[in-house]
Amino acid sequence: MPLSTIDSTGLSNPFGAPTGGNVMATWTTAGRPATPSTGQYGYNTTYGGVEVYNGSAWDTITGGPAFSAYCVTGTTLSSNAFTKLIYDTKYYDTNGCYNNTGSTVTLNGISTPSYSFAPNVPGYYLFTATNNVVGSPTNTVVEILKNSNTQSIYGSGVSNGSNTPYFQTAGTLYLNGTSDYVSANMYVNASGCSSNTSTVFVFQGSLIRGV
Amino acid sequence: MMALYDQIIAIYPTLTSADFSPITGTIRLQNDSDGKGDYIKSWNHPTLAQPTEAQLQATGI
Repeated sequence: MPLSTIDSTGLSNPFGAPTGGNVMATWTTAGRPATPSTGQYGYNTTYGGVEVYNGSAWDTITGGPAFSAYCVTGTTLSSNAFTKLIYDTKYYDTNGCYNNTGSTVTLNGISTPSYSFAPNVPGYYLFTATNNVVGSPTNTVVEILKNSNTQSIYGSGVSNGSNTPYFQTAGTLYLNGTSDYVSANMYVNASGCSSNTSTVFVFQGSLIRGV
Repeated sequence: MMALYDQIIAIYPTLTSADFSPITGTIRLQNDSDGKGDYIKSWNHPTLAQPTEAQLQATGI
């Protein structure tokens, strides 16, 4: 074993002289140290990131999930209702946590509803969703929704002068990494409306802080 | 196919769009874009009861 290698307990070898970098301890989420010390760190091969034990939980430092998706298919918006927006094409999805299909699928062991993001790393995430309404509603809201109805973030919009308002909402949510998911919805108070299709209308999210 | 909103209004003509409005409304309708259509996600109206599926179908809308 190279002298510079950090052993499986996460403790560095004081006799090692780095020759190309130290090797950090590695483990899977299921195989984390059973009795970690505060400050113990290692590389989690389950999601591909470095994490440190903060005394009560594993805090992700690098490798947290991030995704971005845009709209190839427009969404027919129900009257006086929230309709889940169809962001069906990915720009990127680092950890395979975004479901860009119209059916519920299991991603990383998490049941993930249609057009939803279900990260496999717990922490605080920043989200943004943008879109454009085709139609003439007088009341429109774009919403980022956690789970079925746990927590919402509402955003407002502005009209470009031709009854096609552009909307954006952004905010942070805590997600548990085991069952929580997030989707984007749009409310309109008129019939005959739809969301637009464009590569510039996106639903995005990224881990910004571990637990 | 008409919207769930129109079926509810047919049952309760006193309801308006404001009753379904985000934040201030007491009724939330949802469509998950999964091909299953609209549904009542939450109903917290202070006096009117949530209509049953039979009542909705009986509107003929």
